[in-house]
Amino acid sequence: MRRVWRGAVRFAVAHLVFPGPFNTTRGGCAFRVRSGGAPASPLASAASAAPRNLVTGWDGARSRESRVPSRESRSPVGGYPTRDSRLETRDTAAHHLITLLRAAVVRAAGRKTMAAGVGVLWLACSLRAWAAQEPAQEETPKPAPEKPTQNEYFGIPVSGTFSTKYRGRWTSEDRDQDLFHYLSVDFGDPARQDVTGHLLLRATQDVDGDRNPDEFFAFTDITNTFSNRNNGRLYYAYLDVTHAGPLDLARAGRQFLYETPALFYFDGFRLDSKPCAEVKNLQVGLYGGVPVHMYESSAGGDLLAGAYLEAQPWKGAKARVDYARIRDDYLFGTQRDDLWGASLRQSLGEILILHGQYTRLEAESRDLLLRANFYERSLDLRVDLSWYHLYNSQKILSIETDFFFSSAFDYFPYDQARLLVAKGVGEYLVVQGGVDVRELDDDAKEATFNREFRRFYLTPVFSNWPVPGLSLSLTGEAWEVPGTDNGDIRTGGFDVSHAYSPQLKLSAGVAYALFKYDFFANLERERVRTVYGKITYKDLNGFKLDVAYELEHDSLDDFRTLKVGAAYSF
Amino acid sequence: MKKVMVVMAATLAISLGACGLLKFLGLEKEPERPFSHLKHGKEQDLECQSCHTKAAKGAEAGMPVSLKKCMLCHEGIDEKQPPERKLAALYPGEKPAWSEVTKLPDEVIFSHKVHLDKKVGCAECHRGIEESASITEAVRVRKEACMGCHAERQASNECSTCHTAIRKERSPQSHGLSWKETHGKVVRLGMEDPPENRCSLCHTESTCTSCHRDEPPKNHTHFWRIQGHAVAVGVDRSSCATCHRTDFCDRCHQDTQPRTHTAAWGSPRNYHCLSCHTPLRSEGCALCHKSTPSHALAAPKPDWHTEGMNCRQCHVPGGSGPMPHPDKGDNCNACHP
Repeated sequence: MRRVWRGAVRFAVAHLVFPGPFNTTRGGCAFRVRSGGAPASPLASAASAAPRNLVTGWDGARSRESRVPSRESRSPVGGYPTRDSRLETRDTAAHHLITLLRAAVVRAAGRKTMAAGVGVLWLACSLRAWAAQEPAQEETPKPAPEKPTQNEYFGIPVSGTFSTKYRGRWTSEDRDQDLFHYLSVDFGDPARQDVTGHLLLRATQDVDGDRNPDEFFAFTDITNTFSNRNNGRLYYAYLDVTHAGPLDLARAGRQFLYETPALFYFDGFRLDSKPCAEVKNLQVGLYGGVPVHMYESSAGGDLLAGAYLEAQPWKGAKARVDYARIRDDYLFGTQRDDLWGASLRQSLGEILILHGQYTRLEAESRDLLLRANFYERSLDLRVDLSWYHLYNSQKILSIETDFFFSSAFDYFPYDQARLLVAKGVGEYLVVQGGVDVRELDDDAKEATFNREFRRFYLTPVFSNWPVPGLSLSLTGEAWEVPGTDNGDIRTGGFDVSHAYSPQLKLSAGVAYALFKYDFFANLERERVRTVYGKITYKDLNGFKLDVAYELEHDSLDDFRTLKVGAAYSF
Repeated sequence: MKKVMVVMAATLAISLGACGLLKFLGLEKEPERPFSHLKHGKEQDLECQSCHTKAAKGAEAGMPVSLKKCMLCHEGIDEKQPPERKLAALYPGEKPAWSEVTKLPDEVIFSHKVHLDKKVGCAECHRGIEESASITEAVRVRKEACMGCHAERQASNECSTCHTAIRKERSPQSHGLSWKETHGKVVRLGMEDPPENRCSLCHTESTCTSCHRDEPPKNHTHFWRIQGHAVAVGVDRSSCATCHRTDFCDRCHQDTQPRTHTAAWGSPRNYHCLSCHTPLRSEGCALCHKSTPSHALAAPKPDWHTEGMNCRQCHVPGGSGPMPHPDKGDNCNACHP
């Protein structure tokens, strides 16, 4: 069967590339060369257009008309001659060569494959004809109505999302079915009210349950470690009061702190003062509470408290000093950590941001991070460069500052450099690639969970090409541990997504991963192949439905996963 | 190789820094746009719509399309001006040279007529314009001012009120197929991003939290969950910290049997012994079995066994000594003291 399809594809390619009896100008199956020159390239057509912003987001300067490619400009790259121009080439040596090549390909295909090839060719021509149609013109978007459309209860705007998802998983021997429910709610409008509330929670149901915990189960995950088949999680729930006297923000409840040297997740309070314009916009903050460790059996003995100072010492600069005291009662006893951090951020215009952060843990230097982010909108170019240094071995620490000691043991000092480049090319293509390099301070300390590595990745993404609404992505990544194959990982993938309308979107893709590792003195190679398909439907009333199916093949088994989800935004 | 990469990185950093610095310094100096609303509006008492004649009729306020109206007053003044300050020089085409200062992007919906019809005075949006002596970036009406006024007057602050492209139901161009993998690097830029690219325009905290807490990355396949993550942790454990903390790993490891722990792994065949090295941790067993070893050491050697004896002279399959487990070739004294 494989040979039939291979031959069919060869046959189709031969007739698409070389002139032949199927290259008719009727039925939209002709790839025309524009008279007087090379075919118009969609990638080149926007060279003189207004600035694009494919790398990061919106391109507000472009008009709608310039965004939707015209029919002429969408001529594919590398078209072959029409019938008239073929007449001119018939007498040339090139024509004879082309004819010979075509005949050879067709002969190699065989009768069965020729039949299949006709089918493939017909499909290709149909797609081409369909792609050549004028795209359905979107209605001119109308401005939203003047009055707010949010729901309001007792004068308080309420918005959020409720979603539910079914997940079914199967192998040849095991199966698992789960339900997930999410509710996120935002009370109040920060633009109009000083008091707002925010909430996100999740509930899960293990539909199957009742399995033997002493036997290997292919779908064991974190939810199976709880005794109850029904579980809930409160991710965050807090009340915000803004512009309260000298305070810019007062927050109480379960919350995240992202600006601190380590991510803090706790139940407690946060107070931010108003920036003092007379003193370089100096701002003071305090926070404290009980850290949230979702998978720890008890939060007893845990405590977090901290403070920060932030100011803008000169134009474009932001300086910050942090202190946090963490007490954590966990596996290895009670850990008490004093974490200090100092950071400086400098913006140079709108195109360059420099950032440095230094932290100390107890009386020792912990790490240093230097980062430069360059973004030039007119070039649609982003470059991120960073260097990280871990000063000292990290051992037993509180969960907030821990480097997975209980699983991976000591974390030895290292340097790591990262470079990422993302460039928009033309109107449809973004290419993103990068390199990560890690080197240990002491090569002798290289071990199972402390490795040097080189990481390379490249991802070109085509958007709205060759057909409006169609996106293609290729991705490749390689992790290499120098001097050995042990720990090498290679991945690659191809994804395609088509938005048939603002409501309906189809996606599909394949992925491949190769793991090389040595668990018991044998170098093992595991190949994981994944195929998926997904349909998403979204209407303008806030309702969303998605269905996804995935098939994974590896040496363990064939894993099949079906997900059906529905969400309503209010 | 390391030196080459360091040099390349340093060169790149210096180049980018230089570009940024030059651009930064260049931005400090605005081009001169010598039109004074103070003189024309306040001192000469001209109405806004004397020059901006289209404001009451349509979207744009309009600029005088020719010098005719200006020359009514400037005819005498212009003669005394140097060439670069004559009106003709300041009016290179149909519009004055500074008309781009307040030009809105094509995708923005705005109508002066709509606002004037709702009795919004010119000075309510163009605050301080009557005091400005030249056209600078400061006269541009900022989005924050628009939104503040909309909020006060109970007008909609939805993106779609003013934007045709930036709307909550339409993803930006950057949110392509690889956005899930790459957005982190963009997000880390922080609030200095161009305003139209701020995540908070369309997303709330729940978007980040629910995804980072619940939706696994693409490489978290079933193989990853069962076995593959160990390889990745061995190479780069820091990347796991984006979503996980150590309590997550510990909980799963404490409750989950590895795939190898089946059949003859435990007693009486004790195949797990085959993985024992000294120290135990190097083979990953200590991931779950924290104490080393987790059981009493094997039976000690009999008293009559002397140092230097070759254990394998007797302890081989079919030999005279007992052989309760396969021989992996390790030093027998490591377990048999």
